[in-house]
Amino acid sequence: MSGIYLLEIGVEELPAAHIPEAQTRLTTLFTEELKGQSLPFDEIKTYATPRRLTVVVSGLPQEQPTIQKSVRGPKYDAGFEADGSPKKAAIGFAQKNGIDVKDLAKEKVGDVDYIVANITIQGKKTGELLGDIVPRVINHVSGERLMRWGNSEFKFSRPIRWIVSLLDKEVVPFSINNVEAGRQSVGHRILAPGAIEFENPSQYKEKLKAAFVLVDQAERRAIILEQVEKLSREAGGESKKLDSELLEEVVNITEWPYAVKGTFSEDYLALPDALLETIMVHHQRYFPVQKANGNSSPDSIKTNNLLPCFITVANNDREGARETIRQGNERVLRARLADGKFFYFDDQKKKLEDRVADLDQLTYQHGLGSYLAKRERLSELAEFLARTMELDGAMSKHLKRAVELAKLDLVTNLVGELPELQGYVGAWYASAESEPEEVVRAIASHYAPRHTDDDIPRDRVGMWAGFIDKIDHLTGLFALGKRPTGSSDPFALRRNAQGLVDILLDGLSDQVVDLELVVDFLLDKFEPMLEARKNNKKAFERGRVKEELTDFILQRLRSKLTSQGVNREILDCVLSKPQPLKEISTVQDRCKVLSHLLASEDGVELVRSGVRVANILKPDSCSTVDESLLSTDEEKNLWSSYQSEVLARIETKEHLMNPASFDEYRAMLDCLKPLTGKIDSFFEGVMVNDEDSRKRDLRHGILMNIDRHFKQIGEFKPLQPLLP
Amino acid sequence: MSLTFQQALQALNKFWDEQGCLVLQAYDIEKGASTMSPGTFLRVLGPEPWRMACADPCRRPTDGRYGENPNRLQHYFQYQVILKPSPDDVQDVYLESLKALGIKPENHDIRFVEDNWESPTLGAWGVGWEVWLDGLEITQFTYFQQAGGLDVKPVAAEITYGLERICMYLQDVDSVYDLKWNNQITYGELYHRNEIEQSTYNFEESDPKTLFQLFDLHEQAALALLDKKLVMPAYECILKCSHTFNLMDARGIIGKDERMANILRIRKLAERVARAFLEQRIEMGFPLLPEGEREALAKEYAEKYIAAPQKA
Repeated sequence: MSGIYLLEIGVEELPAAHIPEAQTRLTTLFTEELKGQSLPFDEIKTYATPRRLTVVVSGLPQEQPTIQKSVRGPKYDAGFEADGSPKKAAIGFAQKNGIDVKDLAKEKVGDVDYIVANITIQGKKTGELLGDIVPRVINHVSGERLMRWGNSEFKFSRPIRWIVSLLDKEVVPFSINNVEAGRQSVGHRILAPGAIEFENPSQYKEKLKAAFVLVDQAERRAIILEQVEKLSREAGGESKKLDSELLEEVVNITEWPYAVKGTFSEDYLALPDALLETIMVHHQRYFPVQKANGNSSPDSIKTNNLLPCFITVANNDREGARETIRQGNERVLRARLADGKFFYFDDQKKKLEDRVADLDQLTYQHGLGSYLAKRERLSELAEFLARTMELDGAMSKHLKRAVELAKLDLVTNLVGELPELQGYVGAWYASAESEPEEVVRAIASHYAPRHTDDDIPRDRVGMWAGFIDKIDHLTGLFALGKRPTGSSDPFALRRNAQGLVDILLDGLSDQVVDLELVVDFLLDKFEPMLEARKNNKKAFERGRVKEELTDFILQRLRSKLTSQGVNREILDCVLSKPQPLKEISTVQDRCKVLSHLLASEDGVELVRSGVRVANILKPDSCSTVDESLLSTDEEKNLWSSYQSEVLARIETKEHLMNPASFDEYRAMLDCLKPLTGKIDSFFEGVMVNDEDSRKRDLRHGILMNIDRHFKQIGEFKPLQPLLP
Repeated sequence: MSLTFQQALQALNKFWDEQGCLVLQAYDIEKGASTMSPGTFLRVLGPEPWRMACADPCRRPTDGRYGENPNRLQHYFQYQVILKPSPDDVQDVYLESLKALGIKPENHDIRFVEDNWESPTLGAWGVGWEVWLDGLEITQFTYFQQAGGLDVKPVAAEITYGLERICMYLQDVDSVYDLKWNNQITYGELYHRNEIEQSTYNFEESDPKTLFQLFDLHEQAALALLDKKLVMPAYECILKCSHTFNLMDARGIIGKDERMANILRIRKLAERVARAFLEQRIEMGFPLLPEGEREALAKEYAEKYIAAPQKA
């Protein structure tokens, strides 16, 4: 007969975000512990509410399997006399293993006989083992911010108040921090606060349900979805945010969900939807309701599609409470909307530009000055990019304006109240001040991607503004020595770097951006600010900062391209350039051109030649060719073929000398193809590393000339494993 | 009949009195939160038990709205309860206290929503919740983990009621100024003019130069008093420093880097005074402990906190 074990850790209300994390941990820990004890099981299920973490393990045996084991002891001679009578060593060994001396056996290892005890280890009872296992599991659930309570040293996410621990009908006893495990739980805090007793695990869900607790998150989720959708339809609209984190959070802050619809004054519909939604979702955990057939363009910064109502999910479904709950929530929302509306219009009494001086009061980063300094830097960088990357006139103008306005909403009251609206607020106000549409959109979009599931800006000016903001943030924080460590990334540098790479590769893919130049520009700005810190331990070292930042960005780039299926070898080649940030814009094209090349037969041969050339050259190889020294046929053939067939063609076109797009790289490589056979005969016919240094320099010189074209793509050596 | 403001206050006083708490009178120095009153910040330190309730006025100069916002004040009341060690049934007791205010939990949606608390100025943090009543945040509930950089052990539960909000809900008014303090006099009569004038002072009329001087003077005084082991006078100087800092903040005269530097200055003082208070209690032999435990714990704490003092 297989057994079921039920563990319920009864707690005070857990943080919603901790719940799924704790469930995963519990599953992992139980699996490891049960496997460690050789206890088989069918399945581990977890459930959770704010007040309970539950694990149900099914298919457990009565006890551990019994094991036959043979234990080797001392040498046979040391244990037994020649006549077979046991000596002290054998007696002791038998005792230690709990068997009789006469049951000891002999085993030959190599040439020597040893005493062996064949013993049977009786498996322990499952309940007994669980009594050891479970406290260890509970001790290791961990979490982001653990706490102590009362007189205890024990730490958990929130205080543990009861524990149910049942293996079938029996309590598996243990205690954690003076809480004795038993068979009693409690019901809903308000609706059924009394104790509940379980005879066995199979009663668990039903008995809790009778006490107004739906322990299964899937059931709560289904009810919430159904009720919220129904109420939205009744209001003549459709619910928003049902697919979002909000739903998961609401599931995890209720035990007995019941959706209640409330309304607010239509006057507030004049406010942008994003403002209303932020108040409803982030501050009150309400589901907004939008018009059923509303039209909203994703590009519009100001949509008005909401209906004047909201849905809150209460943890109480008593009929007598519904009206109070509705009125109470309406009152709270009314006050919050009134605040939002006040700030929205009051802020606009002062022009965005008139807030520039206030930026000086707002620290960007300790050590990197204020947002005023940041604004100036972004503006200068915008100008610098416009000049060096040859942006067109309108784009340059809009970009500069956008970055100059982008941070001003940080000193508005509305962003002070609702920080998650940064960018949008600036865009609304800029729009009201009749700034050009391009500028307005960029102010809103330059923070994108705002979270891991978000996209890059959709508008061109926003892409550039986002690029500028992100590279400034990354360079500044790296210059301060604040690079992320482990899982901790308080300045969101990973998200910023990912956003930066995504913008460059997906958004601005048609634009050559010299990231090296940009980083240098910024380091020139940061260096004097950090001069003062040179004395302390985290002294600013430009070279090191640049190297770390480069690695960090390339890591993001690598993982992005790897996930798109690019080979590691190709990435190694393409990213091996001495200044990888300089040509970051062409990374994707260079990867593509190599994949393309490796797909054709003559392409593979060209790569093979490239690898051969790269393998023999040294960093200090001679790079000039003294033509008067050319003597062998192979030298003459290769050199003249290079001169007449390759260089003559490449030299005529700047884009072949310095290619920067897929087509240009491909055309350049096509020019090299005639050399394939000649390079092979060259390697077969001459000793490249000749003892005569003049000959050696000549030969290296020829190859160096050819190699520089391969080097346009990258270092070919890493490609070797890809050759058939 | 819903409770007037003063009846609500009395109801809580009575409730927590019956729970065996000291019911203290408000502390007479400006502070941003009741947590900064000695009944909380100092008494949570060390091993001695402490149960206290108190309606404490708080001042947050930057929150002033010239009496124009119906929900926001630069001077308001917190009803503060400290239960140390935190009892096992602390949430149930709290819900009982709501009943004392006339709030029947079964008729509402009451939630404990994660909200952790941290005060960089006090070197203090805790974890807990904000308590929601039908979507309205009515209470901050915190298990104190550290104060003044010292572990709070045993852990103290801090329950901070937003009295105005609760009463606005009970009395069904949308503006704090419409609250009935008693049946004749409104909250507005008592405090509306005060809000207008204090907002004007906080934002416009305070003298920056004086504030800078006061900050320095209070800090110097606190340091001198700490050297003389005069814990309470030092503590009061630190509170004055902190309030002066808040006034400077409201006046918008603290430069970017200065802000952080000032917070750190106050924090250093807070950590020193916390330690000084604890030393004082050790020397007094922890009189609030049961007699049998005093000697051993005083010895243990003396070894930990006095024998090996941290570098100054």
